[in-house]
Amino acid sequence: MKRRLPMALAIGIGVLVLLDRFIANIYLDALGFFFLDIAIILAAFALLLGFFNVLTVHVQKVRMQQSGWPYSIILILFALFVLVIGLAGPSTPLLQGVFNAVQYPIQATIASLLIFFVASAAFRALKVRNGESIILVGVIIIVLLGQVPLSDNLTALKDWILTVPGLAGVRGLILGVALGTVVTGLRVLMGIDRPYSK
Amino acid sequence: MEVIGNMLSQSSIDQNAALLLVFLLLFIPALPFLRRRINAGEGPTLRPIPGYTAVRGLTSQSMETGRPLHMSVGVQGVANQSTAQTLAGLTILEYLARQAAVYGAPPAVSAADATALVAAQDVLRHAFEEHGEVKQFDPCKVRMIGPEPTVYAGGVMGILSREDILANIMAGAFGDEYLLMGETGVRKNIQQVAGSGNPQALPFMMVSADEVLIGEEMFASGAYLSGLPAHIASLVIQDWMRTVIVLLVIIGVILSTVL
Repeated sequence: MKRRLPMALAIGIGVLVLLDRFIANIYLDALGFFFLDIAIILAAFALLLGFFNVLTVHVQKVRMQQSGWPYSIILILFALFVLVIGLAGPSTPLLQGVFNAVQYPIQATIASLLIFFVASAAFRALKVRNGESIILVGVIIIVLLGQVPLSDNLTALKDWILTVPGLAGVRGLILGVALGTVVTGLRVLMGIDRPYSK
Repeated sequence: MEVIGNMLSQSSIDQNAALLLVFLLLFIPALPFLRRRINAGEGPTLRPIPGYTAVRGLTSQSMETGRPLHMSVGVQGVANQSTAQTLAGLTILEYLARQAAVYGAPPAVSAADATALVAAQDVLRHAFEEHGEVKQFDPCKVRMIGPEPTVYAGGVMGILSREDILANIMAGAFGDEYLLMGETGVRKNIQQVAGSGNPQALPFMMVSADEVLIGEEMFASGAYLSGLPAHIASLVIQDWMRTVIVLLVIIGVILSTVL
């Protein structure tokens, strides 16, 4: 019973939501929306669990005085501060100010590191070691030079590389991922895989 | 075709989705049938995937040295369109957790999404429960960093830089932010295995990870690491589906060219 009930619920609800995708019926639509709303609410509660996990991990770090524990104190204090000011609602000026003045600039700073890491990754990738890397470097040079108005032929070659072999490879990849997704879903819907209850 | 279209519209079945429904219904009975055959020892031969060979090797090293692996299941959770990729990452985590329950050195797991956090904790706990070592389970081994991808990347960069991590395994839904984490691993000279179904993240993985699980190779984790019959059967069905689709594409191209 302990295993069968969650499995029966998961399969039943999964099949209903799947049928809602294929069949236009007002009762199925209503049921589908209802279950999706429940999923959204559950995800919101999971976010609360995530918040408590963050606090627990960093309190433990402070207690054990692990490497970087002073930063954990700052994190805990800021997390509780934002929680308290957020209780008044998401549109309060103070909360908006915290996000505009702290959160977004820090996110932008971390994201801006990407350009330096792309440069260092490209420098490492462009070392010619074997036949494959010669082809890689050659294609990169053609695509880069094709972006500037040096030669119409080069631009046409660049366009062909991107739209024919490049796109074909990406489509093959996406097809494989889609099939993997479908079969993973089938396993869960048929109760063969039970990630919700072990 | 008009007759079929009329029948479909009268039965309220979405015409665009009807083909997909037929496609699915053709393959649904195959899954339990193939699983039975594989259980009976008639399974296919799987080609070696270097990524999984590396995961096995790194797990052994972790057990021998006592240094933990870092495992990431992606920046998405289990309640959106990337659920399958997250589940693939959780399957790899399940393998690591089972090894850790027997030999020690549980992996340090980080999650960006709260639903992935809960699922990962459950996977880890269940592995310890199976081996009667539930007291060894520490829920703080799975930590949530933050739901924003750049925030998550910043947190993982901190983990890889400050903690004594043997190797970094990242399998799930990633975007551009992967490069921040991957490059940190390269700078710290940490072995890395990465996998994603997102074509944007794969080039970054190719240049920073030692082994890469490209797209659908990620979904083979259950088959390669744990030898689960249902997962091996899934690989066979994926191959059949792909063959049918490729044949349909070729026939469609020929027909549209000739007609």
